[in-house]
Amino acid sequence: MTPEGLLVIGVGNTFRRDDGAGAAVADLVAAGGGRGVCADGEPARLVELWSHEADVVVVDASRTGAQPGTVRFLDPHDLATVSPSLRGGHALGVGTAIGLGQSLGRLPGRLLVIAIEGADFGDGEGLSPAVARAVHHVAADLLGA
Amino acid sequence: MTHQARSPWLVDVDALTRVEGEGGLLVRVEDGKVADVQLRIFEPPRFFEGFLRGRAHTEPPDITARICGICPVAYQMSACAAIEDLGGVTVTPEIMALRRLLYAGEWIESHALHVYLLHAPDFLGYEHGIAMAADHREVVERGLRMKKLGNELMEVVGGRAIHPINVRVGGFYKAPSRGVLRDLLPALGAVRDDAVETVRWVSHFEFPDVEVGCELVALHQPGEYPLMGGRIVSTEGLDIPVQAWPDHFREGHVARSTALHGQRIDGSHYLTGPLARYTLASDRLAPVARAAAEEAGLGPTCRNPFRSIIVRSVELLHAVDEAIRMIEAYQPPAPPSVPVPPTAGEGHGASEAPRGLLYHRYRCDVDGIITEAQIVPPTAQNQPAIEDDLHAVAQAYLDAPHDELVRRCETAVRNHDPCISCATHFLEVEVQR
Repeated sequence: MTPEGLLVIGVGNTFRRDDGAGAAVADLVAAGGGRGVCADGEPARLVELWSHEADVVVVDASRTGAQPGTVRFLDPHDLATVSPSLRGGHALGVGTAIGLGQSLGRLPGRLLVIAIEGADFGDGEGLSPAVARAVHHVAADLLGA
Repeated sequence: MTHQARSPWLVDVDALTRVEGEGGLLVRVEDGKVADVQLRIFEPPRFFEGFLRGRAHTEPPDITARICGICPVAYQMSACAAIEDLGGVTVTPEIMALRRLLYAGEWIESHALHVYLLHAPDFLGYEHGIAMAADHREVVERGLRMKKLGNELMEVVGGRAIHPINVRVGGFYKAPSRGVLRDLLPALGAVRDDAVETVRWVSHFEFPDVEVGCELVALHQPGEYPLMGGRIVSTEGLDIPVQAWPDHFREGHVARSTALHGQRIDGSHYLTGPLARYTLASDRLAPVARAAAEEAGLGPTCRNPFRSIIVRSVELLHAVDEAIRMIEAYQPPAPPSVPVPPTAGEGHGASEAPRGLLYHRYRCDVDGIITEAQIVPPTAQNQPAIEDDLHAVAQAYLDAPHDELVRRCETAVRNHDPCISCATHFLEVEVQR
């Protein structure tokens, strides 16, 4: 069980391989008796999901060139930037949602962002082995937290 | 990104923002006059028409919905209309009413997104909607409430807010119950008030005094504001069945765009979308929307592209009011779909996406396998008219400070809410002096 009240939001597209890492964590948390939901990352919906929550963990896949399966804990305030690519209707993501939540005063009481480095973002379902291992570790940690 | 160009372009926006998809714009000036404007679309081509070939006649609603995350219902409705036209099938009034309700959800979420987060920042001087939200929190919250309600409506009727899964050729897989729809009525009532306020709010923005001169084209269904079915009409007297689209319109390649450019068959430009619908059918808006339009200072027609934000807000109010009316009168279709057998031949369908008229054409063999597909989204049709607007606006603001010129040029494009993802199936600015 996750700590009472903790909501785990998994962001990503399960049809783009490792981009589904966040959703896989949320599914495992829900299957383990915790509160886990999946989201597509659209900022207004993310803000809606978390704005009345006290304690939220967002899990998303990353593509930084790090070793696949690397898990990083990110400061939401570092993500709340609106880069040029985030000003359009495409490539909107967690950072934009945090920026919008800040502007509207609708961030959860406590917010942590976990990024799992992916290896394969091609078409299809299923996670790379290293990413699948990281997903299980993160979910277990959240359930045992 | 905007910068003074190194090249002959006076305005060079290589990645236009607050539009759906990837594109840019260029303005070239010679001897104090705008010599050339280009709306460049570099979103990669998506080949949907190609990979529809060989698929079953039942698959276009699900496949073409993937063209756009903002207006998937438009693709589903035009696809269904075309396949049903091919099969000679007419769906029941109950199915048609449920389709209109689903479509209302899409108009609400799409128009709320564009009015509040993509277009309003142009008029209030913000770089993007998030910056605007910091100073106008209550206003943006109002927009988000409406967008959320539109998405909820799509979830309840369509099974999912993005790329709905409950639509099939001939109708729906499952009809929602009266109760689950009626549960939405209190929120819809509140959102109708929000929509009235939206029209009032945008009507106080400052609008340059410009007009589009081209032909305006929309669907025409007697007694209804344009949405689904009926004929194609225009301000120049065009009045044709949807099946005659290929005889009156054509598409062509231009080097600067991965999207085809739409033209009338004689090469003239035309515009679809809110200005066209309103100008051709404002008398068929819901009474509450008509009253709001009048209060906002809109006459029976509107050709000012900057005022499209008012027209879009009026349409948002109309869609909310229509949704309420349809839920109150809702009779679950039973069965929820009618059979559409495979038929050899050609079918045509059109509907009014939030951005304008969306035309589909399919040719199938005797087994219902698609042998040819044509999808003509509104942004592809509107590109030449958008460039005409851009030319006029750039010329009007040529002596303005560079940043002001660029802002006006970008707004000239955003006035039309282009969906580049659909059309490539866009935006940065460059001006050369």
